[in-house]
Amino acid sequence: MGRPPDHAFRLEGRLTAGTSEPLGDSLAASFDDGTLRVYGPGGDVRRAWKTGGAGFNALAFSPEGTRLVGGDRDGRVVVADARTGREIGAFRALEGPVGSLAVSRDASVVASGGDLEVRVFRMEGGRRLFAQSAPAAELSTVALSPDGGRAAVAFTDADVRLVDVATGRVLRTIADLDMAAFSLAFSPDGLLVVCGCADGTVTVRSAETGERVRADVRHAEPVGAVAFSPDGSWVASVGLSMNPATRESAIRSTSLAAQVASSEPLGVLSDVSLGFSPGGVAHVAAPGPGGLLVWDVPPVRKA
Amino acid sequence: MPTPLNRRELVERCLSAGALVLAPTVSLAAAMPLLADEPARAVTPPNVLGPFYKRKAPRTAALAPSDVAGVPLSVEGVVCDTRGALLEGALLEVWHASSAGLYDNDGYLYRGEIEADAKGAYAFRTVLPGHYPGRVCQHVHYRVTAPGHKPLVTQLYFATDPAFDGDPDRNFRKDPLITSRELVRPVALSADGSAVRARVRFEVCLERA
Repeated sequence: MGRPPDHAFRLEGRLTAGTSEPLGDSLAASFDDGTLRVYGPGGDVRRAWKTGGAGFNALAFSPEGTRLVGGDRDGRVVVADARTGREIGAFRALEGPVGSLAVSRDASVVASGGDLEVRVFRMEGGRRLFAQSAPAAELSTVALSPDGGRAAVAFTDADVRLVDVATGRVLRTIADLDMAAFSLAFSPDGLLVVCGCADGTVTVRSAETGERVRADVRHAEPVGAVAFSPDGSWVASVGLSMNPATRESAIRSTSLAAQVASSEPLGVLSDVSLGFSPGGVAHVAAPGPGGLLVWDVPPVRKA
Repeated sequence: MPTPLNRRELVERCLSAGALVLAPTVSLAAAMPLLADEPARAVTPPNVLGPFYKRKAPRTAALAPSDVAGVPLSVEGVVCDTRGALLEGALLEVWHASSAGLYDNDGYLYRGEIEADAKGAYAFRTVLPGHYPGRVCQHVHYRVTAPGHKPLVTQLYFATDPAFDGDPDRNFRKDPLITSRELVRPVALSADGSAVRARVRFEVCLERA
């Protein structure tokens, strides 16, 4: 049995998508009645507004929490002020459902992923910067560097492409992963990218060369979420329970510099989001029986 | 400016002008696809790769040990191109879920690479894959490559799948990922004592690069 969650709160409606603020303590959730709510980690509703439609398929905060972006099943992307809910812009990004989203720190660039390709846009006006697809594979996930200059794009053929956002040119392909990256994140300084893979591998790479910068960490299950701590010194990763009968989800916190790591079982989770509070505590959020479950996971300290 | 002739039209004009003569035993219908370089066979319909493709699978035709749970399954076929040429050395990467509907992502159970022999033939042994949440039908993933040909990613489905309610012609679209009835193959079931075995033939046709 995993550790009980630190917070558990009821959700008012059917959840369609959720996300954690990457460097904050808010959670955002979209519901099928078109309501979007922003929660504190204890479940208090900080803000709520109507977005129209039947809720979003995907949600993402900008890293500093100023913008909240939603993508719907018709391929529309909506950008809102995360503090007021005011809609700042909307544009059609894809012909089909939006499955994944990423936003740059300055909220100038948004990446929207569908089943097959990723399309990257200027937030202002929705001008398309580039599109990427693979010849015989589907899109897995996408992340943007904090300055919006680079995208990391993972496909199901296990390649991760590092792309120059301004030109769409592939700068480097990480082609030595055995299985697809299910989750990606850039470090706060943009120099590193962490890949959480279907075979449970968590690998930290140079965002310039694609080379491994530290020994890989292994989960027993596919890695559904990865994140860097605000100071860039820790990586947190969460494995998903593909086989609920035998395996639980677990969060691992791994120091990039020191030989310190922790692993903690969290129970059976099939979908998670992960963020860090500014103080460096990781928050794992997952839909569970009757609502949303949240665990607070501080990094371990060297004895 | 005259409209350029396609290859078929050029061959037809050469035949009618006597610049090209067929042997008496060769019919025009039989010769035309070859002379005009027309496909004799259709490319196997592609299908999605899916999230659980894994590189470096072992080179083996036995994807699972004989004592593993599930209905034993043998799959065989040939790899050819659209002109019917058999592709010796074509590499087939195949993978699927266990009979309980779980992929082995840690290791390589139910995963293998098979090389087509001198006659383009391939075969592998495993168990019938199970169903799992998010997918309607049992399936085996294929990624097939051969020099000079476009890689093919597709999936094999089974006509005996309960999801088809006994009528795959009518019900194959119950799985929204099945884009072609051609990918649903007949299954020969045989009883060996009390054990049931399944056998499937699945030809794979690649397009020239």
